[in-house]
Amino acid sequence: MNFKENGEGQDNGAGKILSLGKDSQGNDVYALSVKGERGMIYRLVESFLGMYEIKESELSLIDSGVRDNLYLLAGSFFCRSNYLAPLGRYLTSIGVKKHYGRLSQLVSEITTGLGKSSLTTQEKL
Amino acid sequence: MKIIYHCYGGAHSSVTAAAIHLGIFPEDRIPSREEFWAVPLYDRQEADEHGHFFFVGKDKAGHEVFLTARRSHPEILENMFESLAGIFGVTPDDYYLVNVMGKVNLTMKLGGFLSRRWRFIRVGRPLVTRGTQAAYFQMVKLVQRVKSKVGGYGENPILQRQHLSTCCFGGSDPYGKSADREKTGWQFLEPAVFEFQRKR
Repeated sequence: MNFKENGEGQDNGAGKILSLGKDSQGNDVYALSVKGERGMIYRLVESFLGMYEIKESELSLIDSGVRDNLYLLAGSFFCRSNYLAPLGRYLTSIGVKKHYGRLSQLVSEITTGLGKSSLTTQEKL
Repeated sequence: MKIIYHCYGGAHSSVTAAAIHLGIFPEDRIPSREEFWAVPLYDRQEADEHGHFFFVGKDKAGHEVFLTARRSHPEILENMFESLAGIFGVTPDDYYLVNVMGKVNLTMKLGGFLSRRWRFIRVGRPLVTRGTQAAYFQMVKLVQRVKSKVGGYGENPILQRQHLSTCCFGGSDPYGKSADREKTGWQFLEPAVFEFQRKR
């Protein structure tokens, strides 16, 4: 439950954890936007796990380390408009491609480090 | 249920609301600045602790009271908490997030900024305390609304107020006489437990 009294902050999806499905090892994979608050997000997750006595090994928080490049910023800007959304998507795809090598390397490192039975590898922010 | 009060820096408004909730602060009068400063978390939290949930205590209805700082992104805290709760099977009835920022006045903002951000504690702390005193009864009302929503405090919450007003600081028993507690159900109210070590 949530008790809101004023309109402080805009809910633009920041902090929402999106489910992307399961990987080949059966682990649930999620994505999360941190809005530049990396340290705070880590403490929030850690505190949540502690609060509900959930083992830290149940959740592995991986920082992709990717920051928005110019293509991604322009793409997200154009995507706000109905007419320019195709251009926005095109620019976004270019932006993602620029990071693709790094992301793919990160994912391969994580998947080799994580087994289905053990989720102990944790990259702290 | 876990009740989580949150504000920008987790140092003033959320601490005050949590203290009111637990009966550490009275509901019928404004505490003195010495009483505010005696609370371990008041004007203490640093930026590198933002996001951490501080357990403040358990109220007489058995609800656990926490506070946290979420800077200027309440939506991050709310969305993340909701999402994590969904992932780990925590029901929405098990937690209650309360945004206290709506009760923060300009004096509190200025004093808090001076004390926490710029480290002008000598100037900032008295200023933010004065602001907190000005906003105190609004926070009391907020806490009363929260209590009426979460329930478990008996039929007449006004009766509590008389007992809450007996609390004092510095005495051997900060929650009033033990005999009163036995009569009014205060035996369920444990002293607030702070994870936080006093820094100065």
